[in-house]
Amino acid sequence: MKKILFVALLFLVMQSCITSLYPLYTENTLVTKKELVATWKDKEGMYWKFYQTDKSKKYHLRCRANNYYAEYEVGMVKIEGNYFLDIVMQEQPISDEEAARIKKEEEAQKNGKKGAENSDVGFLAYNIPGHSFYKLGFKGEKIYVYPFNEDYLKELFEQRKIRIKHENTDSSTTVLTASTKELQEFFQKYGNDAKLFDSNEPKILSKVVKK
Amino acid sequence: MISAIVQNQVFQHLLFWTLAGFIIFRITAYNAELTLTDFYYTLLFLIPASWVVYWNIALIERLLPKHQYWKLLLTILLVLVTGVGWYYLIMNYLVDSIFPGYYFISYYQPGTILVFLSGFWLLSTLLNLSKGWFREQEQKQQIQLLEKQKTQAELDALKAQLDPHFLFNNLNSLYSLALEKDPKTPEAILKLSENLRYVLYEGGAPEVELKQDLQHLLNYFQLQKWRFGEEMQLDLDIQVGENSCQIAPLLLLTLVENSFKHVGRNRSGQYAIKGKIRLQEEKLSFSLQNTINQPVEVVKPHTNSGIGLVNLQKRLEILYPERYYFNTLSTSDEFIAKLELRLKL
Repeated sequence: MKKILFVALLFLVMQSCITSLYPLYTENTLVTKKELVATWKDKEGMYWKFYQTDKSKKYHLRCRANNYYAEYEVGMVKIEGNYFLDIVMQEQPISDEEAARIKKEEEAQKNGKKGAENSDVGFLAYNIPGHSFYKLGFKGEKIYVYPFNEDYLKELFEQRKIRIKHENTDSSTTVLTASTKELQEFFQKYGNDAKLFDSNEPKILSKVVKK
Repeated sequence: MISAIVQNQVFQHLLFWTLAGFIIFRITAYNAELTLTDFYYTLLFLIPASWVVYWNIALIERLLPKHQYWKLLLTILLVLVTGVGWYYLIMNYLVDSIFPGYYFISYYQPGTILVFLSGFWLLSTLLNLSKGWFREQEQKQQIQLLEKQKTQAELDALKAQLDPHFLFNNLNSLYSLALEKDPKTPEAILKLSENLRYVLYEGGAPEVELKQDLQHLLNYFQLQKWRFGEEMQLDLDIQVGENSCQIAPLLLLTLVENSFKHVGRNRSGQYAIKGKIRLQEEKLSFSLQNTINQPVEVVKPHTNSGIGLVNLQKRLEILYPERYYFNTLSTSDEFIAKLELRLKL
């Protein structure tokens, strides 16, 4: 159980408390950067695998910690010289064993058999679907991922010092309801604001070189 | 009091911007809950709006009376476009200095801002034109009042000329002259006829030649002279040169009539009316003094003697605003009236 909790917290890092209803990108504003397509590892030991499956400019991201993984859809935009990632969780974090069990169950259902009901998937279903935004910096074989400074943003919302469409779904979660155009305008103007993106604590991803 | 406040321009502008601000505040509010940031945003929005409104007012007042419609249209378009520019300059650059620590973006596309500012342009145009319309109506009413007063003055003058006593006295004088086969008889009949014709046909004109009006005055004096004979000392000294000036008809006659109405013997037993008329360039000076047997009030609005002078004052206000001087002085023996007019050459 401790292991599951640890993994859950690890994936929780990927899920911001401030998400957006609308994406930061439109099909026309998506950009690609081939250096991104690789497997990266952060200091907590989580692997980040960016890959593309079709001709779309969007990326897929599989994050793996121990034998748990989660799938994300990623769009990248370049605004005023800064790269930003728009990440949406596609599949809940799940263990390899659970994935195998589900697959087996699905096959059993196809053959008309009833599968097992117990699952640990529900436990990890903490996710609120939405777009999370990160500022990105490429430095050699490293990627610096700057998340939103949520404490500062919450303070701004509480003090009514930020004028952007949003809804507070509960005391800790805020959903931005601004349109893509407005989001882009906001990032265009405040993309370099050191207070908005936690420049002191970026998540540093190092490229995993296969030996 | 309330009317004065409503007509006060500062109040009108404050009311306009308060209402405009309230509407912008409601329309552009981002969330259900209205916040201070929405208020600040409204204040910022009103800067380009005021740019459009005050330029529009200035341009309408300057170009519309000259019928420069194309120039007006083009400059308004320029003002609207620069208004949009102001909006983006404020929202993208100046806002962070005006409200540091606040996060604003421009939110609206240029087309939308142009529509908003066009709304302000339209509203200010309509308000300005309707204000002009009301001003015009007020002026029309003023002119109507003036016409009414003029007609009344003409009627009064006509009444005075056709006064049965005036006609009776003059006809008696004419009868006496005729009996004595005085050679002045035809001239007296002619002068009376000229005066009646002048009042009937020239009295209705807005302005007449000064010389024409003075001729009428001289005729009036001469008729009165024949009427009173040696009993009253009558003297009218006119020196106006050859300049051709225009004057409102029958204006000077009101003063003369007033003198004849109130002339009396003073304590020395004198019975006299003396007038002096001078014209220097466009400045006409008329002083008239008559003997009285008791001092009279300068202006008595509720008596017959006062009505003529009050009406004269009103006519002067309307016909020669800030171009006249009128004063009366009453001593124990004399009543003196002084009138100065700046005429049109």
